[in-house]
Amino acid sequence: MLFNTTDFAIFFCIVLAVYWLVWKWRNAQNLVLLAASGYFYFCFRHSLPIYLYCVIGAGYLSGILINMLNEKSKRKAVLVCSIIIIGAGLTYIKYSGLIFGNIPGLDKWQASVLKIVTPIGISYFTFSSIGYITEVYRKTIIPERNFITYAAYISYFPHILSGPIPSAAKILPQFRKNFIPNPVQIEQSFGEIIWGLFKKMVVADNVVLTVNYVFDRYEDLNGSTLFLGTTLFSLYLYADFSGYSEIAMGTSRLLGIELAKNFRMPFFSRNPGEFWRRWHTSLRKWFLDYIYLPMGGKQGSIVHYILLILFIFSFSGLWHGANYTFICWGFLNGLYFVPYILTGTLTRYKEPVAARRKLPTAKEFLQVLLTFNLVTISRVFFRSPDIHVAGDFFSKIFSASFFQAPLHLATTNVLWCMPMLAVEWIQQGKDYVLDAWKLNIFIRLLIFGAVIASIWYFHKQMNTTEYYYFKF
Amino acid sequence: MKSKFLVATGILAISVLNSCGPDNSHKSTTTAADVATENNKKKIDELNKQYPRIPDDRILENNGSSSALYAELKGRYKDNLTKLKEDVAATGAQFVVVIITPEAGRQPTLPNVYGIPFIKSTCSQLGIECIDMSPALATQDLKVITQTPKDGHWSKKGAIFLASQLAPIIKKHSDAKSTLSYKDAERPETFGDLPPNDDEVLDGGKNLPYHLTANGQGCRMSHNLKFPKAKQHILFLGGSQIYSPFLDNEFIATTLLEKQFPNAEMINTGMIASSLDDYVSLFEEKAKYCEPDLVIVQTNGGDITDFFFSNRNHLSRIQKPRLPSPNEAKFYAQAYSK
Repeated sequence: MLFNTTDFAIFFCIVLAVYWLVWKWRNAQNLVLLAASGYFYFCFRHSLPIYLYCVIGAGYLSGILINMLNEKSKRKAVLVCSIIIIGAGLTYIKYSGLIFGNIPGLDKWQASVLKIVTPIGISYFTFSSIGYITEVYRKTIIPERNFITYAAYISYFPHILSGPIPSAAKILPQFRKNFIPNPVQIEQSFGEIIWGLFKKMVVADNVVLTVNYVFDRYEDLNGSTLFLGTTLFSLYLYADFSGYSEIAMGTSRLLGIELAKNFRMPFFSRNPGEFWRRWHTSLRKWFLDYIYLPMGGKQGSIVHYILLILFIFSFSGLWHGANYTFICWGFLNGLYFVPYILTGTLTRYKEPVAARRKLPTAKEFLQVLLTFNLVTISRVFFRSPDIHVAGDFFSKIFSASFFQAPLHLATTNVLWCMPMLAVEWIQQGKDYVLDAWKLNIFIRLLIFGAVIASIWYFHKQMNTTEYYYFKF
Repeated sequence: MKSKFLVATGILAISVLNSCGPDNSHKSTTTAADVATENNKKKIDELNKQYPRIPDDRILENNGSSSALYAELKGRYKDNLTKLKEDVAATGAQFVVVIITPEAGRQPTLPNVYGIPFIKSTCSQLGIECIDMSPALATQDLKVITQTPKDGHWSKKGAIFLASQLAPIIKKHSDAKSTLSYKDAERPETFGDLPPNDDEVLDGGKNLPYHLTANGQGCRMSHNLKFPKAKQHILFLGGSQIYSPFLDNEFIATTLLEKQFPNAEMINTGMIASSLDDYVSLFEEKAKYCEPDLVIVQTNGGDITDFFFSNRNHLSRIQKPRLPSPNEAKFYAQAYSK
């Protein structure tokens, strides 16, 4: 049941109606959410909720146990054990293919028996659980004693499949408050949902076949087409993933839960540091809070800082998949930081590019262009099935054929994505892309109507493609 | 001010999307002709709900080859082949039938076991040159010439093999010349059924993306045909074996042949799931106007069983509802009562 299907629309309307009907009783609302999330998750594979509820149970008990203990060493021991138990499931399920595939003497059949099908969204609910118990250990939150509230929070269907990974301190308290949305919030929700659908159905779904074509048939294509294809993959990934996140935020707001913004115009970043503060921000924050800062962050020497950056990015790559390509992708993105760190140019900008101006300066433009291309080129590793293909792909890009004319199809597909970026650029600084609250209601309706009409008119009728990040 | 800018940008965005993006011509404005066929479409939809497609093999199970139903289907095949032969003859072009099965290196299916001998004898009776490629295909390795296991259509090597099989036919008829020519005003806009100037990636849901390019005349080729013609025109009528899904234009057999025969233009009008009656109607409506000198028609035994009424309702390019004949109704009742 994907967000961009009528099945989901019907499901969500029913959930919303029941949820709003019981607005006076928070526990009943959480019960509705728990049942809805269970059903939503069940629709993807019938056996999946069992593992989910095991993780929920483990996280719930760990939180209570840690809170009961006063001695720091014991609290830490429970924390470590809980993380191992919850994390072991993720590690086994996600990496069993790699582990058993490489054990000598184990044939394909035996390896396939030992390998478990990866439950969709496993990383997200595992990270949410680990984040929660760590916060309880750090005493930044009190543990949730109401099992229904806790279970509703972890299994919450708008974010369970691809995030944003919730911060327990910010999101969990919202599951304890009664809520009735006001018209402004309802309009914002619809705005986010419509724009998210536009990005997924008009942009991502229309260019995905060309992306697949470029990466599958790279041997037959010239360097400039491959370069444009990689650019297209970057744009596709953004449209697909940020579109999903915006629908998640919009639907969640209608249920009274404010999720964190996961994307803040990442393609308008002036250095890699700024890019990663704007791309998949909830995952970055998770790594920051639970790995980077506990390991010393920027406190040690510059060598320690650089090594830590490289480790975090490589680890992030490994999280994406048990393949050397992901590790290379992560490592390369970490490596990008090194010259910036050494030259002291890893500026932590307080304002977005061209703030209070219509266009960026020439310097800013070049900085943005460089950052975009650095990030984009690393995605060859991200998209390639193995390291040899990635190597061949790179050698074709950086060959004389780079100076040949690209395939017309690749150019038109890249242009197809431009209106999305243009509208987001114009609307930067607003709460959401279709925010036009100061305008007359009829003009706002006209804008919404125009976007809906373009979704209806331009969406790819042939197939409904799954969100790319579901696999992680 | 900024918001007005947003509205203007929205309009601009939509117009840019309209002009430069992936092809959405299939959603273009409804024409009068479309409206005229709308009723037929509705009837066909109703019939399709009532009568699903019949697997080709099923018609021939339990001595089906000697049944009155199969005789009826063969009769339809023969009528259509006769019609196509006459239509081609009227243009003065040479006409060749090639039997290409998608069954390389394996035992032929029932439609081909019974169908190929019939096609050959029919061609012989009608005086049509018929080349059976199935024996040559049977000696090939399926994994090399097709995209097995993902799909049974030609691989790059398969297209080279097909081109090598078709080349002698083209060579043999290199002097063929049609006697008919048309005025520009008579010519339709397209000679094939692909959307003109189509430029898109398709994957048929098989995760085998390929780049489809159609010329401005709806044929699977990279350039438009010009008139009066300066080169020999060779028209290919066929199904997916001619269309060649999952290969880019540059790798399909007709493109390879065009490189091999620089004095000829290979006009590929192949379409997935097409059958003999489609070739007849396509030739009559559009393809003959490209002034072919040689017409090569791809067929196989599946084209006979494709004449079963429900298969035509589901697949034919002719939007005409077909009701079951008594033989078909009887077969349907038997096949689906089990």
